[in-house]
Amino acid sequence: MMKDQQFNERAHANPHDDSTEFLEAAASSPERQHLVVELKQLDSDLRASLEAVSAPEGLKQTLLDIPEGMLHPDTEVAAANDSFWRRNAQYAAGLVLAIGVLAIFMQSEANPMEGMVFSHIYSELEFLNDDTPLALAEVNTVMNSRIGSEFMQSPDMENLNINVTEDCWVDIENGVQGVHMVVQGDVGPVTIMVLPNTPVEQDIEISDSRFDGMISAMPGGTLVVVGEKEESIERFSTMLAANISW
Amino acid sequence: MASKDNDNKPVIDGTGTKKERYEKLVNAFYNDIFRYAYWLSKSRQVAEDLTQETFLRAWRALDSLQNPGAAKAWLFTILRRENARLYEKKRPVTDDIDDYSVPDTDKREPDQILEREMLQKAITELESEYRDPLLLQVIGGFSGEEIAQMLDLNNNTVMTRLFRARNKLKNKLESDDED
Repeated sequence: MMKDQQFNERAHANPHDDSTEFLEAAASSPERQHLVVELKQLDSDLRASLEAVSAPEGLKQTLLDIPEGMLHPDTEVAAANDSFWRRNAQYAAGLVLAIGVLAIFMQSEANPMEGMVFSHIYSELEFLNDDTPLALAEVNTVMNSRIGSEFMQSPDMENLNINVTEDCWVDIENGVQGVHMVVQGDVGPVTIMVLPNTPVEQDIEISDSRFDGMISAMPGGTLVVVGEKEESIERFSTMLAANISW
Repeated sequence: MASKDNDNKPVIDGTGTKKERYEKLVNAFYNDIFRYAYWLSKSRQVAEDLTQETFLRAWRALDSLQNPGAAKAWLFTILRRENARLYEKKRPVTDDIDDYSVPDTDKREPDQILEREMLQKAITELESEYRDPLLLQVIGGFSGEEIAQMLDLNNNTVMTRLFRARNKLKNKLESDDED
């Protein structure tokens, strides 16, 4: 029988849980039924509040009106003069802004992969605070299941303090799933990403205001190592590269 | 990633031209994407830009989408990345949500409008670690497992955060009622 605390947590996490276990637990007492009703009402109010926001008129059509240059990439250079822009002048400002933002990103990044790596790290900064130790065998289970590779059982790898191993969608645009790890470095946490594809053709050093890193093109995939400014990125990169069985 | 979109039938199934598949995605998801962008960014202008950027990237990468049934989760993930990228470069101005009132065409009673604004204020004041999974669950209709994959968290962590998010909202609304 589900205990009150567990029921309370599950009801709050998803009051619309329709599993038999949850429904039977809810039916076991009037108090539980009341809690579910109360939480479903909260959800209804919540949904109404969130959905009070609607997309601006014209946005859908803007999204549907793909510029001719993007429909046919070989004519992309001519997009600025395309009739799309003349026919949709009222939306042009918004699109120009979006493209401008993209252009700024592209100018400021030596390689698109650099921006993707840093975005991924900053969107998951909580990983850096996880200090739960993981065994190499657990890491290799994830590595094998996600990308069909693993780390060798070497002294270097056994001595590595690994705290996080998760799926990695840094290369989401290409639908490529990798593995995201965090290990303890000399200065602080070091992020490691292992991808089964090779979006870069040669090793690239990357950096921003906080982190330094290295994206390494390898025979079977890509290795990314990113750490604090004072961290020895090259040491990690060299050691890991020597210990991956692609 | 999720095996299907939230309802039983995927919006796209890999058939049709690229433009046809793209149009189905826009028609099905543009409003949810805009809403999610709005509550992430707290600005209509930024939300509009993020929505355009998300679909621009989706168009470019549509042929590489490996599981068309997970298109909605894919779009939401692109949006999250774009939002993170934007904040990494420059924190946008988010002034147009400061009064916690959003356009509402309903003819509601004043107390209902007040309640809605209190709830909207409470949502915006939630810490992002609690707000993000809640938005994905309520706006996106994603399951705990889908949210876990999108946020790179384990399922238990997501369920704990959803529990705390609703708990915090309830407590906040109750304390506002007492004031």
